[in-house]
Amino acid sequence: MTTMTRPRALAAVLAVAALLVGGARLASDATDPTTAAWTDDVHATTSVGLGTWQPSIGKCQPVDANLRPVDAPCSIVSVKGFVTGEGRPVGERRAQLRIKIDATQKNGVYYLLTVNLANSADAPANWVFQGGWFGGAGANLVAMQAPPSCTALPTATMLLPDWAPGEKDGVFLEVYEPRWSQQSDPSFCVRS
Amino acid sequence: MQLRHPRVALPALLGLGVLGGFGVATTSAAWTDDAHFTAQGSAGAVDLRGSSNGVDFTAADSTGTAVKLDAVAGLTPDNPTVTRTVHLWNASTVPLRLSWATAPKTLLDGCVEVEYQPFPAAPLAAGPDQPTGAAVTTATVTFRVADNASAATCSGKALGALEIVVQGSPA
Repeated sequence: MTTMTRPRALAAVLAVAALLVGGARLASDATDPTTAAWTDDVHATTSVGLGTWQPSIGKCQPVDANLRPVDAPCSIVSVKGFVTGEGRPVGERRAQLRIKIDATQKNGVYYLLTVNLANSADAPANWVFQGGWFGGAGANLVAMQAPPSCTALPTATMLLPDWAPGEKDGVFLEVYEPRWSQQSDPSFCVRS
Repeated sequence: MQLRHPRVALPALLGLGVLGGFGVATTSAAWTDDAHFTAQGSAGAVDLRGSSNGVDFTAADSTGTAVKLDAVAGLTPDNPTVTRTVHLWNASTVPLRLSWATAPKTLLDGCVEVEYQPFPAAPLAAGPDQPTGAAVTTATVTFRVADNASAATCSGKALGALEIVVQGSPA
């Protein structure tokens, strides 16, 4: 039967610790290079570039009298006319726009447009859409059973008449800033 | 030996740990030897090669020797998708499981989304003699204009170099 004195026990502890560290290091060294040796990569390079495009002005969908889609082509050619020349301050202006579409005219086919007026080529950056409305006398839009809300501006949804494709200069539309003085001007969208 | 005191018992317990540690080290060493044997059997044995046309394969082991793919250019909302393909050949002597080692999901501040075709679950068969049959496959990457890519933010943006890496590892 043997017993260990304190110095001998301490020496044993130190020896054990050294062996543990050495063993762990050995295991680590033995493992690391193996992972690298067991795979092979293939590298490929390319470049990525976006083309250039203009902001989307909106969509045109031909529909029948019940707003059911009609399978026919239609696109928005232009929306312009923000220059009013009336000299009013920001927030009180009115724009008289022309919306031109490209479609084949056909009786009983109307044109449901969703237009981002802010993307019009001549829309001033400081035009105040929030709180404004669109419509106006002579707007020539077709009444909708569920008219759009004015709060969607600068996105405006409207229904153009069946003769719209034949209008060489486009269909007339007025857009108002919130403090336009002639509050009696009719609105196509619902103001709340 | 009779252990009569906790301070004496501790080294003994640690001694067991040492044995365990050697056990790990020994096991690893044995496995490593095996791995080294196989790896030396090839700097050759694990050999995945790439090509842009499916004919001219190279090791393509680094950025400098990478397979050059045609540029992805002219992406717009009207031309929203372009696909590029890397042909792969398992020139190893063992089947390889393939994975995408680099796979950015978006590029150019989110204007372009990148989709990586998943690799088959089955490993790519070994074919060290020539790039034919079950030893070859393709890795396809699709670049797509993001749905919310606005002209103001994205139009005309470009990225000079994009690196795509496919990794092969023995199945």
